[in-house]
Amino acid sequence: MLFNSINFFIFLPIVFLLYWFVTNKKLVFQNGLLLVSSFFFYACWDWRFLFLLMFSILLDYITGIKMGDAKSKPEKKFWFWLSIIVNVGFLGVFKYYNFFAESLAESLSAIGLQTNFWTLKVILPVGISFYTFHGLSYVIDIYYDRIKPEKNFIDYAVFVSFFPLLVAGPIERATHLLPQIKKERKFDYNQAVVGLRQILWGLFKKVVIADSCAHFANMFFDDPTQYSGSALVLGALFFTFQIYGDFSGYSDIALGTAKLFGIDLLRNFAFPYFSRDIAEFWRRWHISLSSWFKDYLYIPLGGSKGGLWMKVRNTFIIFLVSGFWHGANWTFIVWGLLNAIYIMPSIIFNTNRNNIEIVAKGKLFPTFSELFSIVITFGLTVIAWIFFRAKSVSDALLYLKGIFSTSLFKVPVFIGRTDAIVTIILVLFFLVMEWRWREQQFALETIGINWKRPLRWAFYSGLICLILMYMHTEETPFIYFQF
Amino acid sequence: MKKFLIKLFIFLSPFILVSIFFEIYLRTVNTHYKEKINGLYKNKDKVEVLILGNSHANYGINPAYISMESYNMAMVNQPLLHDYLILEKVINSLPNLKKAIISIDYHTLYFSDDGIRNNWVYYDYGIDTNIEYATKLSRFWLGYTPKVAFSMLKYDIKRSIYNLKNEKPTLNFKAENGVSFTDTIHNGWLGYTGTNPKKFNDNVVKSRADVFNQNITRKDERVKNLKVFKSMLELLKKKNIKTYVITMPCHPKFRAMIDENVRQKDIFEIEKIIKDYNAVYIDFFDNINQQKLYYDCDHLNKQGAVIFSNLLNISIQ
Repeated sequence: MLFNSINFFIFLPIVFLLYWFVTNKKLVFQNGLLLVSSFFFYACWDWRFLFLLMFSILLDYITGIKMGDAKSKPEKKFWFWLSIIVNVGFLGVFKYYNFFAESLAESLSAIGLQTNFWTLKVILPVGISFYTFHGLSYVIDIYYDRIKPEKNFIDYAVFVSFFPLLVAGPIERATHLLPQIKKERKFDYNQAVVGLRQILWGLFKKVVIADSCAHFANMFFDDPTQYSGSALVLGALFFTFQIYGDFSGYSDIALGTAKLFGIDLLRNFAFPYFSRDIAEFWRRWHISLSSWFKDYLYIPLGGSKGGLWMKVRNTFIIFLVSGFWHGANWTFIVWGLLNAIYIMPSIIFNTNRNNIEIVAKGKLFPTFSELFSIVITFGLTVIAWIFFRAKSVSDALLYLKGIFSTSLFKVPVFIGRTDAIVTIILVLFFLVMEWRWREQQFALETIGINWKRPLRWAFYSGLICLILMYMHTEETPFIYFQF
Repeated sequence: MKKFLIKLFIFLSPFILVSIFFEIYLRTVNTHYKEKINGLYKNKDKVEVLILGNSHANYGINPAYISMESYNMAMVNQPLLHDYLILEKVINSLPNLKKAIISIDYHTLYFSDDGIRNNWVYYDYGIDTNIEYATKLSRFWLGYTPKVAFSMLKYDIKRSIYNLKNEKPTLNFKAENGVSFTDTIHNGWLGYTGTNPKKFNDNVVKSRADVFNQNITRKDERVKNLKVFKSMLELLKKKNIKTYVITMPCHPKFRAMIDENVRQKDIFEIEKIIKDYNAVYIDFFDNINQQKLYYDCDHLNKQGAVIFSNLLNISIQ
C-alpha cells in the first residue's frame, strides 16, 4: 500500500477512528491496533514477506531479553552476535547475494575463468534495510547497556513495524520511539493539524514535484545519447528534484501520519539543497540514516579520536557503506565514494562543523558568498546523483560525457518542452516555499497560521487541487522503497 | 477530537461534493467509446464488415468507402486483447457479419496496454480485464483521474457555449487533438483533419519511432499476443467469417526509422498462422507516401483515409 494511493486514504481514516474512538480506553488496545494495522499495511505488498518481518521482530525481541538476562559477558556476546549475524545475513541474502555472485563471476571471467554462480530469483522484501536497521540499533544499544530490553512484545513489535515508518523510515531509535509507544497518548488537536499539513506537503512533493520531474528524468537517463549537453543538464536537475521530492515527501507523509496517532518520529530532512558544504548537506539529507551510521559505525570505528588518518579512513568507510546500503550496484558505491571525496576538504581542514545553523537565519536573502557556496554544493550533489540514477557506472560516465560536450550551450530540444516549462515553474514555486519557511520543520508547518481562515483554506485547497491534477491512474512507487 | 473532525469535515466537504459530482458526471457523460459501441449495436443487423485495431485503423479506415456495410471498432491504443474481447462480446449480436479486418502493425504484437484504457473499456464496453475493484467503483479518482475528468468537463462546457452561439453540430464527446470539434462520427469512424507539419520534424518522428522500437523488445508480449491472435482467428473461423489481417500505411520518414527485419519476421509468423484459418494477410505499410495524406508520421488524415479505404475496399472484394 503506497502513501499516494487511494487504498491508503481509505486505510488511514479507518485506523485513525478505531484508534481514537474504539481502542482509546487502554494503551494495550491502541498498540495492538497499531501492530495489526501495520502488519496489514505490510502484507498489502506481499503477505509472504510478513513472516520475514515477524521473524526479524521475534529474533531481536528474544535476543534483547536474553542479553538483558545474561549472567556472563560471553553469554551476552553470544546473543548479540546471533542477532547481528542473522539480521545482516538476511539483508545480505536478499539484497546483496546476487550482486556478489555476479560481480565475482564477472571478475573471474575477466581472467578467463568461466563460472556460473547460482543466483536468487526473489524480489527484495520491501523495507528490509529499514526494519533491519531498526532491529540492529536496538540490540546494539542493549549490548552497550544504553537501554534496557523491552519486555512487552507488542510494544517492541510496534517500535519496529509502526506502519508510517515501516518501509522507508525514518530509521528510529529505541530511546526515542519506545518511550512514546509505552506512554499513554491523548489526542492533541494542534499536533494532528500539523500532521495533516505535513501529509499535504509530502503529497505535494511526491505527486506534483517528484512524479512530474520523474517523467523528464527518465526520458533523459533512458537514452542520453539522443540529447544535447544542455538537455542532459536539465535531466540531471529533474532527477535531483525528483529524488528529493520523492524521499522527503515520503518522510513528510510518514511524520505527519505518525502525528495523527500522537507519535513524533525523527526528522529526516532539513532543507538539504540549501546547504553550504557537503558536510552540512549530510546533516540535512536522510538525517536518520546519517546519524545511524555515525552512532553505530563511525564512532565504534574510532570516529575522529585517532587523528586525521583515522578520520579520513572512517569517513570513507561510512560513505562506502552508505552507498552500498542503498543498493547492490556499483553506481551506489561510486555515489558514496564521490560524496566521501566531496567531504574530504572539510574533514582535513576541520571545517565540517562550520555550518550548523540554517543558512541566512532570520534574513530573507543569503549573502553572495553563502549563495555561491550553496550553488557549488548543489552542483556537486547533482553530479553525484547522476551515478545514483544511472543503471551502470558506464551509463553514468556516458551521461557526463554527454553533458560536457559542445552541445552544452545549445538550446535543449526534446518532446514535451511545454510540460517541462510547467514543471520548472512548479519546482521554482516549491523552492521559494522551502526557502521562505526553511527555519520551520517543514515548509508548510506555519504557512498561513496568521491568515484569515478562508484564505488559509483556499491555499491548502489550491495545493490539493494541484495534487489531484497531477495524480496518475497507475501507482508510482517511492524510490526509497527499493532500498 | 470533535472539533478536529468537524473542522476537517467542513474543510473537505467541497472536495467530497466535487467527488460526488464527478462520480455522477463520469457515469453519464458521453465518450468516444460509448459512441462507438452504441453505434455498433444500433447498426447490428446491417454490419457486414467489422474493423478492429489501434489508432492507425481507427483514423485510417473510413467505412463509408467500403462497399459493404462496415463498422470501425478500432480505437486509440487498443491492444489485440481488447480487439479479441470486443469481438467475443459483439459477434453473436451481428447476424450479417461476413468479414473482419484486423489491423496488425509494426508494434501490435508487442503491445498490451495495462493503463487507463483498461478502465474505460470496462466502463463503456463492459469488458473486464481484471481491473481493481476500487477502480470499478471510483471513476473520478481512479478510473479517469481528476486530470482527465476535469478536461472532459472543460470540453463539455466549451461545447455547450459553442452550441449556444452556433447552429453547427459538435461532437458530443471529447476526441483527441487533431480531430475537428465540429466533426461527426460515421459508423465508428472519425478522422484527423489536415496535416500537422510539426509532427514531421525529424526529432519528433524519431521519438515516435523510438516508442515503437522500444515496444518491439518485449518478447513476452509477443508470445501472449500471438496466442490472442490465434484465438481471434479461431473464433472468426468458427463463425465462418472471412478475416483480413492488414498492416496500415505509415509515412516514409517513419518507415525509415523502424526495424524492418523485425517487421518481416512478424509478417512471416502471421502468414504462417493464418494458413490454418479462413484469413488473408495484406501489407499496406508502404502504400501511401504523400505527407499531405497523413496527420502525423503514422496516422492517415481524412483525405488519406479516403484513399486508403478505397484501396482496402478493392483488396477485400
